[in-house]
Amino acid sequence: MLRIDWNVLFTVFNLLLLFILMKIFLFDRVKNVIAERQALADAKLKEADDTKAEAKKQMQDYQAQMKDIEKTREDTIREARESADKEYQKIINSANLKKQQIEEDAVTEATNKKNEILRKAQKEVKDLVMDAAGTVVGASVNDETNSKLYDEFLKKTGEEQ
Amino acid sequence: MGNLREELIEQLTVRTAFTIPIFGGIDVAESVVVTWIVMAVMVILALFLTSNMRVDHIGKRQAVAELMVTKFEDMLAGIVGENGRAYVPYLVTVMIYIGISNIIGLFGLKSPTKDLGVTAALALMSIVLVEYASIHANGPKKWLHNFTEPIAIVTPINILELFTRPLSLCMRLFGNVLGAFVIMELIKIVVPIILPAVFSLYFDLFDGLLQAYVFVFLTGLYINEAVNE
Repeated sequence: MLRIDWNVLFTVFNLLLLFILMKIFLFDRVKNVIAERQALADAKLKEADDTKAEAKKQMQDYQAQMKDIEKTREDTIREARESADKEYQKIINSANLKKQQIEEDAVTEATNKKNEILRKAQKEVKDLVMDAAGTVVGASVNDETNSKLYDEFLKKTGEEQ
Repeated sequence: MGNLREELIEQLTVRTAFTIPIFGGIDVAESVVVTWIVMAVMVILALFLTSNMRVDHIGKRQAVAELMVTKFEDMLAGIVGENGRAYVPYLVTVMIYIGISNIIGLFGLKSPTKDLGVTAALALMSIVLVEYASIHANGPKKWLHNFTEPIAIVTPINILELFTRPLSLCMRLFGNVLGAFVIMELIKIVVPIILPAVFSLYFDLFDGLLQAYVFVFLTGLYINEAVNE
């Protein structure tokens, strides 16, 4: 029971050996596997965070792009509308101009034609009247008188019209 | 009664298991041999529990090993404090060793802790560890200076503590195991049936494990004091 001798040293040695064996086979092994698991979990969490950040960034990029596209679309439509308006106005203007030109031309031509026809008609009527008068009056009346008569006749007919 | 006395003395005597035939014969005590058995049990158990360790999809054995190690370490880390964390594995080892040693009597072997030599060795290692921790944490100068703290007049008492601390650790463990054993033997004589089983739960199991905890708890407190001075 009360025996202090070499065996104290044996026990010390035994305990040290036991501690070393337990450290190698139990504590270090468990510690390592827990540390490994911790590292794995940390890596997974970091990966998740990175993915989330990446997704957020992409989302923002996408939204920015959408905004750009929207703006471009509006710009394009506005420009197209403006240019179409301008073109329309130009076409209308030129059409109006042309129409006016055509009208003016038509009026001028008509006037000219009318005048020519009138002139022709006058001449023919004059000739006719002169012939008729010449036939009726005969040689006693000279050309000068004829012409006078004719003018009077024209005047009268002109007034009647 | 004479019979009882003889039986008790027989049970309490540390016999020599065998003699190493050098230097005129070195007697190896029974407690040392039983310690080898305890060591073998612990190492085989550790190897069994930690074989095939994996990071995920762990098996039951690994779960038990991890739970045991983390629970014991947390328990003792709380006592030694953050600065003494390095000493936790040793304390856990000693706690498991004393625990198994105290209850190995149930399996018909003599508890090594019933041998004063073993508890003396444990206490010796504890005080060496405590002083090492102090020197390691404070440096040799401060370690020496700490003997004069808080005032110079207590220096002899502080030096005396170097011996009283391990002595009390040693004697407490030895006395508790011895006392529990003697009481159990007496109960077995007075009431041979049923009652010994009930008391055995307390004296053999509970007290044995409690003393293992008390031993490392006190050692842990001393270490805590040493590293946080």
